[in-house]
Parts: sequence; structure tokens; C-alpha cells
Amino acid sequence: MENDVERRCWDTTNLIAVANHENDRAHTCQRIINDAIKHQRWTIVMSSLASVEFVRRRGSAQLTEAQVRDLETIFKQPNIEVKDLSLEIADNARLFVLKYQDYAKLRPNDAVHLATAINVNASVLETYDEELLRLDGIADVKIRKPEWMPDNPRLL
Amino acid sequence: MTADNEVSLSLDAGDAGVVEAAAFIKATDLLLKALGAIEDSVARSKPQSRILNWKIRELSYRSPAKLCVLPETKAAECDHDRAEQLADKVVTHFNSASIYVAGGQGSLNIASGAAVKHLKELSTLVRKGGYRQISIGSRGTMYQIGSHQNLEELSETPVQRISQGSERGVVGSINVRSGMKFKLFNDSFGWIVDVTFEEDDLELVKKSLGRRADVYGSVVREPGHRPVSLTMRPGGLRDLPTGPEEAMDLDRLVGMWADDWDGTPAEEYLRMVRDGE
Repeated sequence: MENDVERRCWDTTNLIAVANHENDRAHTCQRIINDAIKHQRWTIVMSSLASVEFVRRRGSAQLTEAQVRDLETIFKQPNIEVKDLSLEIADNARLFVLKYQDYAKLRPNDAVHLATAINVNASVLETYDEELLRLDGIADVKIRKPEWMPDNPRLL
Repeated sequence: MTADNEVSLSLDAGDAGVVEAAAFIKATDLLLKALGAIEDSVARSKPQSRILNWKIRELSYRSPAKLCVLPETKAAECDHDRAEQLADKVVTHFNSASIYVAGGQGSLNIASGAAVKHLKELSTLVRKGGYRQISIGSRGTMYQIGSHQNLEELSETPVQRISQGSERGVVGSINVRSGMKFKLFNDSFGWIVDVTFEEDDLELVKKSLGRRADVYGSVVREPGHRPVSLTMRPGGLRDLPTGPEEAMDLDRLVGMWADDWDGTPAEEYLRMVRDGE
């Protein structure tokens, strides 16, 4: 039977926030990943494009072999789903660039993440990208910054 | 079981004012067949393993004769939450199928498509049985069926899309008797994908039995993205980490390249990556 595990779609900014150790952002995203992998609270869906974009800036120091291995491993973890950029998703992404041009400067890569979220019927697209965030309430999926809540809020 | 999941059937005999018992029984039978077919599809079970029983909640025989049923679990030992979720899904898919048959609107998936054959047959009572109107519905909304102009042409199978891609899951149930096949169990979404592969890859598939893997090839999906089947391309199977020794220590990801970070927010950092800066 099809499960009711929540699907949260992520774009690449969340992973970069973790790798860069951006204060509260890294902590929030780490908890979300942790709850996906270790506690199966939800599934994080990412476009395969994220594995391309999750790289260091040009001119940065080289990563060690172990770090490269770790980067590759993140996309293979349980409850981390990588959705390939199919022609169907690409077609939608192209349409979104035009459709939402009055609301945000949506670049093709951003549109791919949005199309992926809609394609997998995600409950939310989580991102730190301001242009994508502008489309919350306009696109066919909720868009917000990553949010982590404890399993039982009353224990807070 | 929640009362929200009630399913209704109504037969309006029009001026005649009398609903024939045979027609009412036939309509009831078709309604239950439709609900049963959806349950089989959603639960991937056989008719004899069904756990939902439909109990009469309301029944009136004067035209329009009305039947209202509610799901209950058959077996007392059955997990209540699972049955509740199943009932919820069955009624949701029944609702989709009702909308589809009533007006040719919306799209089918495998579960709602399972009911269409029976609901189309139900509509023949309108045309052949002389009834003015037959309505079906759930959760308080009724849809009139039988008036759709091109009912015969309505497809009973969902429109499927085929694309190149991959699916992830646990490899299981290898079958070599009627072509080379195995089932891929996606634990996250509860999907079971039927995978066909070439004989040359049998050893590769056997080695992955019981392991998590990515399978690459031509994927057939129903509307709503659910994968149905996959034709694996030669060698298109890659094992994924299963043991703790292969699992990633998340702490290593945090701050992995913070040594090179100058405080640029992630969204700006990504723009620089994309611009090749």
C-alpha cells in the first residue's frame, strides 16, 4: 500500500547551508536530514540537479577523497530520494520560467527544483532561494525556508 | 471508522416512481465491486484478502432509492490505523472515479481506474433500465452518471507516461519463469515496481537481491508520478549503502567546506557556483 510519508522537496541551497555551516540554517537542515534518515519521519526528495550544483565555488581548495565520497553518499541514504531530470520535469520547468516571470526571476535551474517538487507531489519545497520563495502561494506547491519541528511539540 | 468515508448510491425511477428490486440489487453489486476493485489495487491484495467490509448506514426504497454504506474492518485483529488509512484511500479513489465517469473530467490512476469498468456498467441501468438518474458519491457529494455522451469511449485504464529515469528500492521476488522480472520495493513511498531485465543481467540482479538499489531504464508512470513498471537498461542496477559501515556520518557533512566559506549565504553561494565564479 502506498505510504503516507511526507515528501519534502529540497533544492541545493539547503545542502550548501549545511556544508558551509551557516549558523542556524545548518542546524535546522541537519535535523531535517537526520529525521529523514534515522527516524523515517519524512522523505527528502531532491532533483538529480542538486548533485551537480552541490560543489564548491571555483578556485576553492580541493576536497579530500573522503569528503568527495561523503558528498556522493548523501544522495544514497535511506529516505533521500533523487529524482532524475526527466523530459516531463524539464518541460514543466521550461513552462514555469515563463509562467512566473511576473512574480520572480526564476532561472532554469530553480524551475527544475520547482517542477520536481510538483512532479513528486511534495508537501513542500524548502529552499533559501529568495526567487523561489517569492512563488509561495502562487505555484502549485507550498514553498518555504527549511523548518524543523520536534515529533511531539508538547515536549518542547 | 470515520463517518466521513460514507459512500452513497441513488436510483431515481422518475415518473414511474418505483425502483425494481433487481435493478437495485444489481446497482448495489456494481457499487461494491467498484469499491472492492479499488481496495485490491490500493492494498495490492486479492479479493479474498480484503479487510474492508461495507455496512449499510442508510437505506430507503422509495424513489429515489438510496443506499449509503460505511467501511468497517472485517477482522477484529486487523490493525485499526492501517484499515482507516486504507478506507480513506479507497473512498478518495472512488471519488476520483465517480468524477471521471460522471463527466469525463479528471484523470485516472491505477486505483481509481479499477472501478471505472463497474461504474460504466452501472450507467447502463440508466439507459437500458429506464431510470431517470443514477447518482453515486462520497463524503456528501453526489455525481450523476449515465449522462456522459461518450461513456463507451471513456478509457478504463489510466494514461501512462514513459520516460527514461531511475527508481530506488529493495530488490526482491526475482521471477525467471515468464521472462526476466523482479519487484522493486520502494519503502519510502510504498511503491512496488515491476522491473523487466535482460537475461545477461540475471547474476547482477541476484547479487542485489534483498539490497537497496537504484535501477535505471525506461519507467512507466501513471498520473501522479507513481511508477508502475520499469524496463531495466543493460547493466542498469547499482547497489546502495545498506550497512552502518556504509552509512554516512551526518556530522561530517556539517561544515564540510566551512574552511573556505566567507559568510556568503547559501543562495548567493549557489548563484556563484552556477555562474562559474
